[in-house]
Formats: sequence, structure tokens, C-alpha cells
Amino acid sequence: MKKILIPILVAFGLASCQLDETIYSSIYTEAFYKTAADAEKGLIAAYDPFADMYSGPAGTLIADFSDDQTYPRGVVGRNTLTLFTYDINYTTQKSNSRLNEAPQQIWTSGYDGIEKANWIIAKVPAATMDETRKKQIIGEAYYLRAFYLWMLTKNFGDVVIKTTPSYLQADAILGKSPKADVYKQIYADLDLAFAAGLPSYPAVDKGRPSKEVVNALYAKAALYNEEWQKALEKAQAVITSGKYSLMPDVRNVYKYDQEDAARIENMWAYEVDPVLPGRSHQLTGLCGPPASAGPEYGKTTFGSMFAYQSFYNSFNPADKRRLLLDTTYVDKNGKTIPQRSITPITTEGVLIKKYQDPVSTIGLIPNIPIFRLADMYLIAAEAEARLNGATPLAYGYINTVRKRAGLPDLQTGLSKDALVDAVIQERAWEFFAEGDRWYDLTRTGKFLTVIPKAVNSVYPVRNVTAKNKYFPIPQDELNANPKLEQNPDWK
Amino acid sequence: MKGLTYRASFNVDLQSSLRDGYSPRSIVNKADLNDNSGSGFKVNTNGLALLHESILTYSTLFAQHHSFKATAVVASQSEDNNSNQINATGFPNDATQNEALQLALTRTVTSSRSRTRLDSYLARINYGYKDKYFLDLTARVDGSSKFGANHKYGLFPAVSAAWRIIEEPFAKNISWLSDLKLRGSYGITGNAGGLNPYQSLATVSASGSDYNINHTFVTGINPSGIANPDLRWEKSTQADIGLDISLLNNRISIIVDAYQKTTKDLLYVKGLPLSSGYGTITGNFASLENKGLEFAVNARILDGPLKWNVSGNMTMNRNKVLDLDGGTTQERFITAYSILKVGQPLGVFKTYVYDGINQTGDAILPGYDGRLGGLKVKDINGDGTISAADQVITGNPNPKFIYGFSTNLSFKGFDLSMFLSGSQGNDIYNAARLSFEMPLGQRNQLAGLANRWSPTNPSNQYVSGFQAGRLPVTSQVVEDGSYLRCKNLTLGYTLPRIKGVQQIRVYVSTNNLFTITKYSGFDPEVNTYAGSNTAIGIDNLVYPQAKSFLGGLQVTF
Repeated sequence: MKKILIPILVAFGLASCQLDETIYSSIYTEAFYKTAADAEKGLIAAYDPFADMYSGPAGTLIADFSDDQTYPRGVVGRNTLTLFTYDINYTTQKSNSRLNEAPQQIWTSGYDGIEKANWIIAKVPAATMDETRKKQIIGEAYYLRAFYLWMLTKNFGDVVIKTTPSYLQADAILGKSPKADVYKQIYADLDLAFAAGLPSYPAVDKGRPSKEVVNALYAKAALYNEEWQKALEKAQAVITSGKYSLMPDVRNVYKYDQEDAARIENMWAYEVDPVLPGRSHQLTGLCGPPASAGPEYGKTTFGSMFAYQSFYNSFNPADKRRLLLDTTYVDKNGKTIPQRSITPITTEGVLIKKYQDPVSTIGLIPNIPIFRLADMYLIAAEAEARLNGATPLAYGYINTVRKRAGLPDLQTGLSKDALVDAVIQERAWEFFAEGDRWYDLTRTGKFLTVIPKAVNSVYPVRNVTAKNKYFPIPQDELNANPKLEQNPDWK
Repeated sequence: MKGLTYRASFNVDLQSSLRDGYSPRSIVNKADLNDNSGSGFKVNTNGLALLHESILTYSTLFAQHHSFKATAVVASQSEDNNSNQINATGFPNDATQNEALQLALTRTVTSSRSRTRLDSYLARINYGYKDKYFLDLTARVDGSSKFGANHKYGLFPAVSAAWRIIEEPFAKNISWLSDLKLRGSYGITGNAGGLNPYQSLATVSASGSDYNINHTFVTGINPSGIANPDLRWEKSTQADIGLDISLLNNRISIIVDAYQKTTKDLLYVKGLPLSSGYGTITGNFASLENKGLEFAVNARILDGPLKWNVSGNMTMNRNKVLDLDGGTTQERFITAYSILKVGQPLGVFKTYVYDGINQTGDAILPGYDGRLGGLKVKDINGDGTISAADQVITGNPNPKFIYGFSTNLSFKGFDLSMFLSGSQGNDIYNAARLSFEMPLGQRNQLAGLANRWSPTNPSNQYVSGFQAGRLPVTSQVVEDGSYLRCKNLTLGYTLPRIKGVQQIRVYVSTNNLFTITKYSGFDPEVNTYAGSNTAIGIDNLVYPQAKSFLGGLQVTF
């Protein structure tokens, strides 16, 4: 009997140490973030949620379908944004598998990005690598964390601030902080990003933020938080850096064959390329005519997003930016299709020409601009006006943008409020279909008066209410987070 | 040594599969044909499972009446899985299809490997006295690689005893009683469920994070999830008491059991707040109670030339969630419509209450995107708006009881048998109906939809054609899932014996011949989340069980 027992006991002894898991296809977290290559790979992971946010792109659509400039064809739940009929569960987008076009995507990807940036910020300082690049990598992570937090707060108001990674489950459940604290965190992160030695344009990698882009985000965040002095300083810092300039022809900012040249103005964008595998977005397909009928717009287009005729009419005919809209298109046979035949949903279809890509069969060329130099001029104009009234400086900033658009200088002698309104109107013409206008309307409260009037035959009634200033925090978050409460207006 | 035996077994299970496909250039519209046309893929997976089991037993009889048996088992199993995948796009022509993927313009490659191990050690003593009293003691230790470093092993002891009352002098003389046995057991069992490996570890992996930098696609390495070092065995403590009775010379036998089972550390996948940056975490987040009664009866009614056996069984089980997340949570959604709630059975449905269709002139309450001709739901709390507070428990997927019945009849060479089984009192969330009653113009719809709502046809059952995907989760699709099904009916005839052949039997048989149910879906017996222990009674288009008819010939030599 002993003879048999011994091997069994030996087997017992051997086996007990063999339950440790071998992780063939992954890496222990504690063995990662050690080298330059690790840090670079970890940082790419922090960019990935930015791409998820702009693939739909929820980053522009939730704003642009809500505003008074552009609207969707009423399919797959897009019209819930235009009609303000979304619920806290985003049920309609969810049942159409279109959460990637819904506010929930901002929430999900925003925090996905923050978590991945948090790992870089927590771990890369201990990596063994070139110190200059190490500082930059951590700086990019601070920038990205600030950007994600800003995307969250501008859409949801008071949100969760998370500055350390989730090592354990207990770290994963946090309550929200007031908007003021969120902006404090954004500024703190941007200060660190600015001090990280990021390169300027044109040395900066395409897709990464330059040192000036850090200030651009700072300026815009401060504008949204109504801290005019900060907004002015940071916007001026970008303008006076001399690293960027406006493209002489505004149309070239969006032209598929001018993309790299346009980086002189287009400071930071969501990057897509005609490569596979690669990142992409839907704007080219949404904005082109139905059934891929207009070759100038793209190889595959659906006719799913248009500008309001009233917005088209608001332009001075001399404004070159109106050329980025169109009321006719040329079909595959070279025939000009009249406005009444652009789309079956209305006889007043107005096409958007900011994302045209006539050449790509796989992937896309047109990036989605996030920060442009023109934005800095208009932030500076508004902040200066709000601080000091209708000064020559404020006029100078807005007129720079008007001049490039082919418009005469703004009428002189405006009151402070009139100038501020003029800047906000200028922003409308400059940034349509770039996910911008809606936030101008919500931060100023104008959405309550502007939206009900922004109607057409497709959307004859738009019942916007005060609670639509922010989107509701997704029900999926509330279901899993006992510490978090819904926005008061949405309870 | 007498009475000592050793038995060892080794099993090797090798699995290998190849899944491949090709989408040719030839199906691409000529105008759209380009360098990126044509795509193919190959997915190789292979698995190696090893199992070793050593069983050592020693049995003896001493002092005439004492039987003793000791068993020791050592078992170990490992599973190794590999997967390699190549996707390729852009072929010069269709000649090689997907057999030369190197010809493609772009190729993406992924590979992964995982390994798990389960070690078990068991010791058992069976003791019997005079074939009347029995006592079994078992202790087993199981170790799984999937659990946290300090939680790999679980100790699972059990004790059971039986008393064959029939052997007692007072019972022996009861002529109509042929067997009587009282049984009892108490023990702890462990479950590692369908747990995926590596979830207790903090790891990073290249799992689909990427971005375009400098016009080039680059991939990242990202955290795999939140590690759960506390991941441990799910443990159930079960007490069972049973009685076996045989009557009238074993013509009738009855088995009765009552049990109570408390499961602690229930393993399940829990949704994390999205604000954590992660979706889910797997862990031991609940405890649960099951209790129930089981009856089985077997009767040989006729035992002459005409033989007739019938048997029936019935199980009544009640379960209840005892706590969630260590008492910090009262309720948690596991699907969009089923929940775990403390004090409630597993996976009850929580939905809005269906209230017909919004008719012309109805006031449509805000909050759920309701519209004319669309579903109407009840404002349960009467606050004039539809909110999450108006979702209530509208169904229970757990049956009141399940049952089975079989009968065998034989006469001369003929045999006829039937097996019925059923479930009573369970609800099904017929998610498939949501799809079949949502007119989007892109998929098949139920015929009833021809009678859908319109201003001139105020149907109260089918929504109008303009819902654009707007169907709230309501009790409309919570249906009674009770059924009785004829699982099998067989008629056979055994031919008279002929030389050299032991038996020749011909038969006709049918499976799932009929089902009595009010359930409107294809099959009341399906569950979309078959592997889940929490998402139950959900029918989201699972292929229904087939009704089949068989004819056969059995020849036994």
C-alpha cells in the first residue's frame, strides 16, 4: 500500500504549485509600463476611446442634431436628439444599436479614456526611458484626461472626477463632483500637460496635441466655464505663438487633398485615413446625397444629414463659408440635381460639404476638426468683449475670421452684448457640423428661444425644455453605481 | 493486500477546427471594384484537454456485520486552448480564394492562448452495519487555477446516512411493504461555473485599442479589466432528507425528497459603472437559497403477458436571492428586463406595464418616447410621467413545478411507450416578439402586423408602422411559459427469434410530437442565455427543438 501512496502524495505535492495561471497572451500589469515601448503602447490605448467617441461620431452628432443648423433624416433614433425625445436609457438608440451616435457613447468613452490616461499618469513616471519623451507621454495623458473630462462636463454637467486607476473593484464606484470642481481638475491637468515639453506644430506627430493645442483646450474650457480672463489669455497665447495661421481659402480647411496643408489651421482633429485596418467615421456617408448619387461627396453616401434652409439663408451670399453648403449636386452622369430632388424627406435639402471624400474606397480621408485656429480668434473676441466691452481688440479678432470668409468688417459701435451676440453668430457660420454650436446655445441659455424656431417641414415642432441643457446620465451607469445620482432636471 | 484496488485513468481530448471563408471579387459591382475588393479569413482553433484520475479503494467486512470501504481519489485536469486568426482584404483575383492569404493587400492577424487546471482530492469512507445502517463521510478538496491566489482551493465535506427500516424486525413482517429506507445528507459543494481564466489577475493586453497617428494605424496595449483577487469558489450547503418506499412486492416504488440549499459567493458577471472605464467584473457577488420537494413514483401495474409500467416525477423548487454585493445593493439589472433582487426569485422580469396602444385622443405621457399608435404603458406611481419608477416586476421565469410522466406497455412482441414532460407557472420574456412586431421594413414580421394600428384601424395589439425602433420594454412580451410536451412516443414490434440473431425489433418513433402551451413563441423550452445562472426564461430567437419522426430496425446479434 505504501508503494502506491507515495506517488499519490508526490503528485499532490507537485500539483499544488501548478494552479498558478500562465498568462500566455497578456502581460501582468506590474510587468508593464516599464519601457519606452510599453509607455507608447499604453498611451495609444488612451487615444482609442477618442476614436470611439468620434466614430459615430457621437462627438459631433449629439450636438449637431440638437442645434439649429443641421438635422438628421429620422431613422435609427437620430431624430430623438432633434425632437428631444431621448430618455435616460437612450432606449431608441440602444434598440437600434446606435449608442455610438448617442450621448451614452460620450459617457462610456470619456471614462474609458480617463481610466487609460490614469494608468499612464500613475505608472509611466517609474518607466526606464528617455526622460524627455517620458515627460511628453505623461503630458499627452494629462491632456487627454482633461479633454475627456471636458467632453463629459459640457454634455452632462456635474460628473465623476476620477484621477487614479481602478486597481480594485472598490476604486471603481465614485460619486460625482460639481461642475466647478470638474473645471478645476481640467485646468490642473492642462497646466501639467503644458509643462510637459510637448512639441509645437509642425514638429508634432499628426494626431497628437501640440503645446499650443493644450492652450486651445484650456481657452475653450475656460470659455464654457465663463472664466473670460483665462479664456482670453490662453486663446491669445495660441494666436501669438505664431505656430498656426488661417488657411487663405476656408474651403481648403476641409478639402480631402489639402488635409496636411490645413494642419496650419486645423490644430487638433480626429484622425482617419484611407487604410485598413484603421479608424473611420460616418460623417462623409451621412452628409452625401442618398444612394451614393453625388460622386463629389463620397463613394458611399446615404443622405442622412442636412442643414436647415433657414441656416443656409442666414449667410451673407458673399460668405465663402456658404460654399461649404449646397442646394444642388452633380450626379454620376454629370447632371445637376435640383434642391427639391436632393432627398425624399424635404424639398429644401441643403447638403453639407465639410466631409467630402470623392476618392477613398476603404477608410476615409477627412478628419473631424476639434480645435481650429479660427476658434481661438473667436474665443478671444468673445472673452475680450465680455471682459472689456466692444474694444478694438475684440473687433480685431472677429474681423480676422470675417475677412478670411470674404466678409466686410463687423459694423462698428456695437454694444458689448451686441458684439458678444455677433461673435456667437460668427461661430455659428464658422463651425457648423463640427459639434460646436449646441454648446454655444446651452452655455448662453439661448437654446430655449432659438431651438423652437429652428423648425422645418421635417421637424415642424421641437419641444426643447430646460432639462435639455445637459443630457441625462445613462441609466446603465445609474444601475451599477449606487453613489451616483441623475442630473436633478432628469430625475 | 486483499480488498485493495487501484484504478487509474488517463484521458486525452484533442480538438482542432478550421473556420474559413472567402468573399470573391466577382460579386462586387463592377463600378465599385478596386484594390480592396475580395476578402477572406481563416480561423484555426485547437484545444488539448488532459484528465488523469487515480482511485484507490479498500473494502473489507469485519466482525461479520461491519462493512467498511475507504476510497481516495486524486484527479487532475488541464485545458489548453489556442486560437489563430487571419483576416485578409484586397485580392488581385479570385483564383486562390482564401488559400493564399499572403496575396492580399492588407492582413490582420490575432492569436491567443489560454490554459486552465483543476485538481481534485477526495477521501471517502462508507460504513455499513448489518445492511441496515449506513454512514458515508466524504471530504474533497478542489483547486482551480481560475481563482485568486489565496482562494484556489476549496474544502467540500459531506456526510450522509441511511437506515433501511425494512431490515428491522418490526417492519420485516409487514407483507405489503417490500422496502423502506430513510436517507439524510448534509454537505457543501463547490462550483467554478463557466468562469473564464485570468480574471483574478491584473493584466494588460492588446485587445482592440488603436488609433491613427501620422496617417498610420497603431495598436495599443490596455488594461484587460479590473482584477478580482478575491475570486473564489461558489459554495452551496445542502441538506436533504429522503424516503424510499417499495410496496406490494416492489410493484410500486415511491421516492420522496426534501432539500434546502444555500449558495454563498454565487459567481456572476456584474455590470460596473461605466464611469469606471470598464463594463463588467466577474466575482462572488450574491447569495441564494433554493428549497424544494421531489416526488417520484414507479408502478408495474400489469405484470402478466400484458405488461404496463407507469412512472411519474415532480419537482417543486423555490429560490430566493438572499443578498447582493455583500448587502450594499438591493437590486441589479442583469439584462435590460431581468433583475436580481433581494428577497425575489432569480432573474424576475422588471418592465413597464403594457396598457395597450396609444389611441387617437389619448394623452401620451412623457418620459418613454411614446407616440400615437405606439405602445402605451401604465403610470404606476401616478406622477404623470413615465420613468424608471414605473417599472415593476411583471414576471417570474422560475416554474412552480416541473414534471414528467412515462408509460410503457408491452404485449407479446409489441411495445408502446410515451414520455411527457412539462413545466408549470413560469414566465418567458419573448424578446423575439419585439423584433417581429416592430415594423422597420427590414425584416420579417408576424402576420398579425397586417392588422397594425392606424388612425382608421385602432388595433390595440399591434403598433403602427412608424415606430422607428421605439418599443419600450413592457410586460406585453412577458408570457406564461407553462407547457406539457410529448417528448417521445414509440411503437415497436420484436420479431420472433430466429437462429443466429438475438433480437430483431422494428419501431416507429416521434420526438416532440405535440406541445400544449399558451406561449406564442416557437418553443417554450428554450433559453437564449443557456449558460447563465441568472438570466433565465428569455427567448431571443433560439432555434426551436425539432419535431422528428423516426422509423428503425434494431438487430442484436
